[in-house]
Amino acid sequence: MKQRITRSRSLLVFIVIIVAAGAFFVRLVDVQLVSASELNEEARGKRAVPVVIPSVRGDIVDRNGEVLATTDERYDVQLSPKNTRVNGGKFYRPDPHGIGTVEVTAAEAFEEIGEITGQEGEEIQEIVDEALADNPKSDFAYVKRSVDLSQLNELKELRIPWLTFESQHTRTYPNGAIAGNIIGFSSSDGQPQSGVEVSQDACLTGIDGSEEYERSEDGVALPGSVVVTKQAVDGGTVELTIDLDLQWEAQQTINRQVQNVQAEWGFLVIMDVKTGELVAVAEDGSVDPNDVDASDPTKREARSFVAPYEPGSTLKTLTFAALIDQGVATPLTQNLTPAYLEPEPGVRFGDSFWHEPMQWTMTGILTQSSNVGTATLGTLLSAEERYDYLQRFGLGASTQAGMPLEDSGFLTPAENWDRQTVYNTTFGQAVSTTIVQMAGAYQAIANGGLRVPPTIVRGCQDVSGDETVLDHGEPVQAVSEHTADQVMGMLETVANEAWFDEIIEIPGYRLAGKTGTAEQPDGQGGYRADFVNSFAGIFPADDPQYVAVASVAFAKGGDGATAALTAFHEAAEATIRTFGIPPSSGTYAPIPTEY
Amino acid sequence: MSSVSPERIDLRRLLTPAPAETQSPERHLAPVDLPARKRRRSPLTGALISVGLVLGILASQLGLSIAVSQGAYEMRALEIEQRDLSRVERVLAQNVDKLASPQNLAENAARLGMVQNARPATLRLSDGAVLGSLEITATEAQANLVPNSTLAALPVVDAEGLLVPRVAPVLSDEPPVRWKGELPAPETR
Repeated sequence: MKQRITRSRSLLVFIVIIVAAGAFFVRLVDVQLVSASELNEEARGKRAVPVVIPSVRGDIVDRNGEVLATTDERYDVQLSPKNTRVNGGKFYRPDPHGIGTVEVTAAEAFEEIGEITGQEGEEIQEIVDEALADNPKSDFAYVKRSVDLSQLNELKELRIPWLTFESQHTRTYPNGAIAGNIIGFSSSDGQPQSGVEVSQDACLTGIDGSEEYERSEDGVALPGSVVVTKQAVDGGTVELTIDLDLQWEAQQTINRQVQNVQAEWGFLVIMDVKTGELVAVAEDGSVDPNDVDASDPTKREARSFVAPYEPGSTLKTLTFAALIDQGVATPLTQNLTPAYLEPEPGVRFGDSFWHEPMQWTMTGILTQSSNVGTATLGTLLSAEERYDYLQRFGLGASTQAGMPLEDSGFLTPAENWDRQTVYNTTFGQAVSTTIVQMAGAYQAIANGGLRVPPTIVRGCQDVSGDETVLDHGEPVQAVSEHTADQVMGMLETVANEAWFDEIIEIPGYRLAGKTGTAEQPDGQGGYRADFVNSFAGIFPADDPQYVAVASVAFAKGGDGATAALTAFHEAAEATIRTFGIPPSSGTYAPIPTEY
Repeated sequence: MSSVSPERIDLRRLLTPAPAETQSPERHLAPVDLPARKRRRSPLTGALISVGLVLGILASQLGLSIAVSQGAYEMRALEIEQRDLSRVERVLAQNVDKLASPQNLAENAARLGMVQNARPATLRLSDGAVLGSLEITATEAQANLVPNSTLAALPVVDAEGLLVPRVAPVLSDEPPVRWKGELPAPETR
């Protein structure tokens, strides 16, 4: 009997054990096999923190690799308001002068922070109080934004437990206002606002990466637990064709000239003849991208590209080039030129100075800048033919130099020209161009008639070294090489025989060029009484290498023409020094201006 | 002839059970001696050994884990050091760029009293000819007119080698006003 009882009890125990083991086994299988992945995810989700790895925005550099725009790291100083009140507002930190710890109150800590960031201790106390008034459990408030590295290191040495830091990328421009109009600037939250920063944004912007790290319950990152889930790709480098030093000299020159004659604005553009590259694009009062608010709001864009104006007499060169190219006239074509002409009823124009009818050759007409002579000879070609030539010289079409916005200027088709316009377009009124377009037209003359479109952004080089060159348009043979040579001869005669020859003269170098004095529309159907004075020059005349165009507008306190000429002169000297252009060879052979 | 002599049947012997076997034959059974056994270990030794082994395994696991974590902490410290050093390098490179900017060079040069040779002559190496004029046409050191706000806090070196505060370029809208009309003259009798 005893045996049977014992046996059934042990059997019962055995069954219970089997059932319990079975239950554990089922649960084990469930946890390890069936729900394994879900549980893993949940666990990691509670521990892992995803962090964005910000990519660094690319640099903008000049033609020699000098940095014009780059990304800087700045730090935001933050504190946890509720933690400043913990433990009665006191915390302990290691004693800097010995062993052990030192007790520090929150008020003392605020003073110390304020000393470094330039705030008062009370200000920081206010920040904390305000944050806690809004939300008594507030864990976050900014103390100071955008402090630099040395301030960050000093603040870290204070060893304040509730003070934390976060880094931000900001854009910085180490060369200030040099090429500021071209580079553009960013807003305070890093959005590009103008210039190459906008037009080449796709090249400059990288791709953010992401990583995850695991942290413990009290927020400490577990070392070795960082997993980079996506690599950050930094932005590429944009190369401009600008030369930093020459750009500074050009900006100095135009600022000085505008200041001297109290002009409204002034532009100075220097372009390489063979390649169409713009080595300097200077505008007066250009914005300093580091400090946009300090600049004149009307001078923050690249006005050389977006502010066209009527060029005036500098366009006469193109009219004569068209005449020579068509074989209708030569530099020696004779014309008895009066000072004033009314060729048809309702059409009238005159020269800038009174004179008797003069026996001028076409070269003489260009040297004296006679509107009458130009219009008389210019209208030997039909309006359509001249319109066609102006288009071949690049007028009326936007340049594609690489800026975000490039104005096409104003050139209506020939069929819309009224009778006055037909004559006015021969001497550069009733048509408007940007200064870059004028430089491009003179570049064609200097380059044997082959117009190479202007460029300012050479290309984009990404992080791996691959270079993408921008497309700027196809070169166009505007006039024949023979025509271009003859026009260069005329321009050199102008530079040596006109009233301004001594202003621009550079001993040892042969120069060629033409002044322009243009009236500008007043916005009410008429023209202003003051002028935009320009000078477009090519040097050296024997082997053209650079074109420089200077325009000074509406001078109130001096002679704008002299200002433009002086600006060209200084620009030419600066270009010669920068690129080491050797003196001219050969001799200047003047073309007769009178017969 | 068959003669069957009737034997005397001992009925008693038939009816009574057979007497037990006598113990007289030799028994082949004998109590067994214990086999020669080795010296017996106490169970304690075995337990100690196995516990010791387990503890040893745990200890070495702990040691390895500490070494790995130590390596991870070291790596983290080195990463932080690298980050800090690259920050310092970036700041220094930007300082170099600022100091090399044309505005800084021009302001320092002007302060030192340097002048610019507007028309340098060129030396042609092939035949040693000097192109251009060797007369120096020096232009006055011009004030820098192009602003650069990153230089605002940096001093310039003056002619005595002292650091003096920088003067920001001012593009004034009102340059000296030209006198118009007749010059005033005192009344004389």
